[in-house]
Amino acid sequence: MTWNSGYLKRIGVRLALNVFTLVIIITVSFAIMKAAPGKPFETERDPSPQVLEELHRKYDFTYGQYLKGILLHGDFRYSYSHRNSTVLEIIGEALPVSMELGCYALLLAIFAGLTWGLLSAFYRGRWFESFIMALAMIGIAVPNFVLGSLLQLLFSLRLRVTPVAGWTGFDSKLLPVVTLSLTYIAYITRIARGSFLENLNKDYIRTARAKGLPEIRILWKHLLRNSILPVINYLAPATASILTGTLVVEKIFNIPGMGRYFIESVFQRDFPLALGVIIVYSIFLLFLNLLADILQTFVDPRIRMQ
Amino acid sequence: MSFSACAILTFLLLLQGCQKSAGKGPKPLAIANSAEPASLDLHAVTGQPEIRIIGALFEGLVIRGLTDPKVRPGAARSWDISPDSRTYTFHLRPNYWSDGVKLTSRDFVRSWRRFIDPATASEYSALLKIIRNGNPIREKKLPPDSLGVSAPDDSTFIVQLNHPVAYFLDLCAFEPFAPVPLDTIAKYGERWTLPGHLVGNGPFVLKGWKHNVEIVLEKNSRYWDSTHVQQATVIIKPVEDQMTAYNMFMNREVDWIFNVPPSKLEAAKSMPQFFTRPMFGTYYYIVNCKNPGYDSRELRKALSYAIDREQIVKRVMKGIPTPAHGFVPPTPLYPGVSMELFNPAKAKEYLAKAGYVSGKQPPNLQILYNNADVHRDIAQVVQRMWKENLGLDAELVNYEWKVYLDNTKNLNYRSIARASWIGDFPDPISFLELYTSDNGNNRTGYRNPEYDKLVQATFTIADPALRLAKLQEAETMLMGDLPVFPIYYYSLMEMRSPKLRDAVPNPLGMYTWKDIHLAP
Repeated sequence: MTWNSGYLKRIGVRLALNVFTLVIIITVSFAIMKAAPGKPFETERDPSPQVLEELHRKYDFTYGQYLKGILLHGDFRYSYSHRNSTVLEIIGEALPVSMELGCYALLLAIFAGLTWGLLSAFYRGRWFESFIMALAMIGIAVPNFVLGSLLQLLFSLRLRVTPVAGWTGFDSKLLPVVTLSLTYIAYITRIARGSFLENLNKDYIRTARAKGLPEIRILWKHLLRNSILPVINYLAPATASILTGTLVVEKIFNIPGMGRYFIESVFQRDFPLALGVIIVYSIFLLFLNLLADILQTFVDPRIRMQ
Repeated sequence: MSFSACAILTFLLLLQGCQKSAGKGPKPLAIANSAEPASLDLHAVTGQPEIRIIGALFEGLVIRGLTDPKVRPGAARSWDISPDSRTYTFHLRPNYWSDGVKLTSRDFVRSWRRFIDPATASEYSALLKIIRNGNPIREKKLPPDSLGVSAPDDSTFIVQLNHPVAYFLDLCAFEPFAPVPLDTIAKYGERWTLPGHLVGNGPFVLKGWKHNVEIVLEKNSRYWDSTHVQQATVIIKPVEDQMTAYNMFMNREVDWIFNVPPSKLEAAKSMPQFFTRPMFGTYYYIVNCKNPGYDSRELRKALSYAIDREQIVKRVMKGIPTPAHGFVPPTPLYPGVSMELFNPAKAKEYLAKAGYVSGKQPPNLQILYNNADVHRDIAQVVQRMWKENLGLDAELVNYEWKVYLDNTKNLNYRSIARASWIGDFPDPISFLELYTSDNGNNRTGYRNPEYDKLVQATFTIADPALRLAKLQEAETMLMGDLPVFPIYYYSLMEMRSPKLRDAVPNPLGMYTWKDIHLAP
């Protein structure tokens, strides 16, 4: 039990460090935003000095006020560009959408990546393997804004089977999920294939075959369990990047997620909204990193002992 | 493999069925609006995407005419104008807010006071300076209660102006002049514009608002002219990307889009769904008249005479808008000035007069524009024209929107920058006033006391013909000094379902919602 309490303590220290990192991220983001050229309330139509003064009085805040508001009251303030909504309300609506998109894409990436990896390992040297690997290469090489537009062109404008944009029914979610997941499918396919190939030639598989075990049992019981570790290692950073990397796909498919607000808030100099999105993204990444470390210690006891 | 092929085919067919079944029931009018509205508070917004929706939810004293440029009665049944044209008396018809409460002239008084109150911080409040005490209130020298508006009884609303204003009724049709529900605002504060809270007096009510997804409007049964409103439901989708909006239209997901991406203009303009009309707006270049070299009228004339507007419209805008021949776009009530703006021989002559001979270059010739394909394309064409016609080398500089605004506002650009203006009301003064010496929108440093005097004089002239002549005189003076180089007059470039009916824009490109509907 001694190592266990020591380990919990270490997690506690990591959590404290994460809070510290978060404060640094807020400070740096705040400084960059204040230093960036362009003012939030500047529009093409010149507002009178009185109007400008009132807008500043209503919406401006200092670094101290902001930090205090967030840490003590959880007050992320009102957005500059959506003046009837608080930043928390906007994020509260947008985050679940981005999460949904990211989770579907991740699940699809894991399922398709493992299946394709397994199939290409099984059919090594055959045309099927070349086909899968070519697809994987395309997935890695083609940026998702190109892929998204191509899918829209084919499935929405030519075949008319899916809507061009939106996030309403099942059919509208199909193309964005596929677009977002393809790069990850490609990576997982390649990693899984390598790992499967390595293990297929191992003695324990040969033994299992010699014992006359059915192929499906060898696959499920022996091969998959032993080959999946590299994929799991890849999944932690992939999850972080897939869940926070939805901005391009959100723009192409007009999805009301966090990524769109992030881009928009930076261009509009909507400081409270941009800071809010940065904080949420940061908490997410810090938490996922911590989670990945904890998971690794479960998989590999040597880390726990150190 | 044949099994897989069958499975994929079945899936695609199911998807198609899915998409089609979504369109059952009475057909709502679906619109791709260019951006998510910043707010639906008519005193807090300035953008077209917001004003477009606000026009469906609120109605002012008068509304825009369907075919002629004159306004027609709205919340007011009729109005009288005093002989000196300084007092307008509006007689309100029986009106109700969408929650059933009676709308009275007091609502208009309170709304206009809120509109001008500096605490509201409405960027359009400058438009109220024509009303008695308007300016001192804006400058916080008098309280908003002292605004020259009054309500002697529930159905009479009186406005006292500082001087005759030829375009006053047009202003009254402009959305920020509609009434706001003060009791609702007092009750809900910042959240009064949310569905369930928002109360309006327009032809539609706000049924739902899912941010960045859609705004749903439904016919307002309490609207005074609800029998005239044929459209039951309107769905407004915020789609910022022009290409996505265009693709949605082509896939029949929306019935109406307000922009065609530049790369699709050529293809779109020959389609029956394409709709274009001249707009009361000008695309132009501004000159930093404070910078050395560009304070010379001769150099400005040389640069302007070297720009072939027809070629720009033909090459970049696919021949759709009208090349500019003055600064103010012509309207049925104002013919504008028709000036020769392209003449390479004169351009060379003026360049020599400005002292740039034998290949001498003016200092820092640069075109600043904000990031957008169309601005870049036009700047490149102008750059080439200056090279070909004058032998001058111009540098192109692009900035993102907020940086571009900051630089032009503070005259922090070297010589030339792109600009555009769409009038707030269909009167030339909304353009000509911009370049008076102390106007906040004059981002050129141009100061001409003679011009200021001319523009100022137009405010006090009651005789329309005389006023028109004065306005033309002012525009001619501006075009002689050339702190701005007009390029072309804006046109609406929309795609519309063939079933869209009675969507008639006014010159500002704004619509009157009560008429618009989809044919069955």
